[in-house]
Amino acid sequence: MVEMNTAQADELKEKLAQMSPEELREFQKKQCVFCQIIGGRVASKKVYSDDKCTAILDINPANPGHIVLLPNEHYSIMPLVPPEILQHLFKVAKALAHASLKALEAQGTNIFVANGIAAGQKAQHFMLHIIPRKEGDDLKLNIPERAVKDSDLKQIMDRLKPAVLKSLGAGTEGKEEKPEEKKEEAQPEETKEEPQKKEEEKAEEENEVEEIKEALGEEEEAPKVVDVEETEEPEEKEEAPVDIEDEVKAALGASKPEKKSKKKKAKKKSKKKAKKKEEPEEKEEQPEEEPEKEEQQEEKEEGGDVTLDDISGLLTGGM
Amino acid sequence: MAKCEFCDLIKGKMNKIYEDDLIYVMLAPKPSAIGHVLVLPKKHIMIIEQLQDYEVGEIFEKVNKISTAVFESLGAQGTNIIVQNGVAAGQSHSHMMIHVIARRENDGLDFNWQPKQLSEEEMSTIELKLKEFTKNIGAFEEKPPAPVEMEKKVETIKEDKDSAENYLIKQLERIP
Repeated sequence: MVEMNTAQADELKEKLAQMSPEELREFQKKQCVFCQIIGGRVASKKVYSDDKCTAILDINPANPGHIVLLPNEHYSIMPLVPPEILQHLFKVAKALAHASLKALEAQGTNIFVANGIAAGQKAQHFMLHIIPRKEGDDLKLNIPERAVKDSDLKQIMDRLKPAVLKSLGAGTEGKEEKPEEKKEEAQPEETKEEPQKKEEEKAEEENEVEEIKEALGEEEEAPKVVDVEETEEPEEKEEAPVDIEDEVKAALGASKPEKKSKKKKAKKKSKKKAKKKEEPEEKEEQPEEEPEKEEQQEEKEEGGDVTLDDISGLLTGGM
Repeated sequence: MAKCEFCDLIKGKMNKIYEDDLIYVMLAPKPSAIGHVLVLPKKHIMIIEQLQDYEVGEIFEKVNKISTAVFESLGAQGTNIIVQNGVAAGQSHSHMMIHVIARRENDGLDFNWQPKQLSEEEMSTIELKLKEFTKNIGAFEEKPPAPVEMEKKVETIKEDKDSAENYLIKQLERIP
């Protein structure tokens, strides 16, 4: 990597500030060492390459034979990699893992991806690590285990599950267990595709109003459970999504398309709006969550000792 | 096959987030972070090599979506995706799984490694050894079409051949 002095760094910062997103992307590509390696302008030990990807030996290997697999096109983070490229990368990764077992007499392999600086991503070019392992090597890639309360897991589940189902579809769940809910979910989303754009414009103006509404919506469901701890929760919850997006962007340093997040925000908000109009008394976030929440509340009433403070602190990452 | 803890968990729908014909997605019972997701192939396999190439592709496309969902819903600042292939690689269960772990700054997790110093010669030797085995990479297993259709096609082709041969033989018989 090229080191620069402070004057050069300031100059660079100014330049970057004036660039359009497209220019910025081009600039990133030009600056990217890995793009230069793929293009053959920087020397490397290539162990495999095809039209979509290139595998090289890591110059700072965790173990002898540590392979770095790169898409030939420059993508800064995994979510930006198109599905067909991603599929190809992991197929090649499987084959490379197999090759390193055979060629290097490894006893195992780790396939490792770091998404974001907080996860240990060091370069602006998305990559897969394939690390050959032998028993007794001093590599510490163990995944620690922590005992966590069921109530905490449930909280994570309630946030995560709707997001996963939204991106993956209902899977076999929709068919077998909750056919009615699936229909409910599908209908409002379809109808909202069109008014979404308008919502987007409105969303910016009415941002403050919406946030208050959101806060109210969440307060409505929260205080049913615990007293003192709960009153702090809605504030944090309400702040979390806003901060998170900024922080993800900052953490990843990526040109994550802004439209996407805005759309999602608008979507969420429009969902809530529509919901409030239809059922002003219930004020649930999303239709699919309804039965789960009821369960959750029941459990909480029984269990009592919910440490929401702990978990919300963890969720917001001490922000 | 010995009893598999995770096959039982799948059957019991433990901590279930998502499930389809190929994968079962669950919250890790003993997570390393707030947001530790396990993606398991539904069929019992031990290592990634036992998956068909197209299955690997499909699974990791889904893993990417799950990773994005972890970002957005749990306010993570990053994610690690880790596969441990073999006991030497830290695998502690006999069922293959992909870990998707939400990361935040100062979360106490550390997957950074101390780089090892290898001589130019050692690196070149490894390069040559690996290349020997990577030159055949490229033909990936495609998802086979539905088996019923295959059988039908084979049958029809056979019939065609038979009738064609019969036709030719009949012609031959006629010639004299």
